[in-house]
Amino acid sequence: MIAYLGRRIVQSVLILLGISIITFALLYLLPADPVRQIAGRSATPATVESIRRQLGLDQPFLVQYGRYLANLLHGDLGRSYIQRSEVSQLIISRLPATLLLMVGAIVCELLIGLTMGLVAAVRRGSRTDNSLMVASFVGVSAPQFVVGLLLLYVFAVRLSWFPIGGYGTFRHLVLPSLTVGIMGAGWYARMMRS
Amino acid sequence: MTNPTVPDLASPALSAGSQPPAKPRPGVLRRLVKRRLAVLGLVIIAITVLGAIFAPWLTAFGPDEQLFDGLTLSGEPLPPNATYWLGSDLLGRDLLTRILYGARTSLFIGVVANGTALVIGTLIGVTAGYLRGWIGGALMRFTDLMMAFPALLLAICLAAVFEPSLWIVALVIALVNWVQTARVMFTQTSSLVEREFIAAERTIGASGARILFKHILPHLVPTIIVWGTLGISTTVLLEATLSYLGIGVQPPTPSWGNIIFENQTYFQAAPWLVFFPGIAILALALAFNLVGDALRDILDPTQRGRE
Repeated sequence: MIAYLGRRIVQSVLILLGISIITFALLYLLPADPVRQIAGRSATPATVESIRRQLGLDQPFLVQYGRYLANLLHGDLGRSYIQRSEVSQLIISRLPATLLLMVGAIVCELLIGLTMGLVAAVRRGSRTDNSLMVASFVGVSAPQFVVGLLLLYVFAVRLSWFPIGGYGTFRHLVLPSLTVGIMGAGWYARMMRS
Repeated sequence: MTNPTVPDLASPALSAGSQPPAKPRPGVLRRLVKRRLAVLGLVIIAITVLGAIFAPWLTAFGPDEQLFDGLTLSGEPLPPNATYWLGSDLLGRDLLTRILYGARTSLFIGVVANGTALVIGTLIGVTAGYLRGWIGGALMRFTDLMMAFPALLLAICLAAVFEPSLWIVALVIALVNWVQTARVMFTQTSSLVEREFIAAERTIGASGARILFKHILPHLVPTIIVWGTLGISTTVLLEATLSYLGIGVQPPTPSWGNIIFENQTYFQAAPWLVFFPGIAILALALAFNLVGDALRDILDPTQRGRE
């Protein structure tokens, strides 16, 4: 049991490591050059070079990655070159909204999905069951950006039940949660039914 | 977007004996047609395919043609009317025409990206399931790794690294979408490899290639068909999402996603510019889901009798 757990933990650490390498490599390969963005358009090549050296971006890939990893292990996510602030702070400042939306979406998912699945299971084979299962398929097949825009149009623009944008109150949370929750609700409904 | 229920299609057929695997039964199409929802899916797919093929003959306009009377005098797009059935877009182009040509993009991506993903997934899954050992382990850990990676983030990064073109978008989507297939193929192959008849083949000295191609691969055909169909739905949605974010298919090449991307700023005043392409995406994704689901019921012997 402990051996199994240990193996799984080692595996997840390896997976995390792999993800960090891929992410880092992708960013490294990106054609966008942060140094040029910081230096601005009128910077001389010498300035650009000195900024590059300051940031350590002239080092080879492995050195950069190693430094990133070492910092990461010390809890330092680094600084955003463009926004000039700690990355960890940027993430934390956005975290509450993300978590709130996540909770809202899960609630929607469960409420809609479980109800649909239960009703369909109780009336298995009936017309209700069939239409609910079609509805669940629609939920699964609907792209979220379309659902979002549709909900916005109907409930915010036309009916003005909910605000179009913004953040803070319960009313702001309803439409986004529904948007994210609908797809998950489709899966829940199908799983619940069987 | 991923399918949590992994159908175990191959093994039940085997428990009946180690006969050479059942080829997809000739009655599949007939049984498919008996299901109303599957028929609905097939009809939507047929309409989309026909619309894509015959687009130049179905509309009088070009997909990039900015029509002289396509905008009002104050420069607003026209709502659906007798000339422009689905209205016109922000640049005065016929929306129906763009949606028809956009179907070509969606289907191209659906076939190429999903086909590539299916090949990669099957290769990796079957190899890992057949060889096992450290190669199989490494392959599956790599699959886990890719699965843990947020698909959209990976697609965005890849799309930024490569110059976006239709083929690159297809490739990016394939690189994101092979993971599911690989997992399913791995599970199926490893349960097949443990069956007696494979061991029997080995004892009589059959080569690895013979076992793979004559005995394992044919058993996987139903799974490949089901996942191939369901996968197109995922692919179409991912293409639409990427194009909507502006990193997929680039305008002026029409794609259902980038039609919405181009017009969404105006959507409060001209909602049809979002609705029609949105419905097109939804309908096509739904169609492949319906057909794929019906195929799974039909091809999966454990489901028989429950219909």
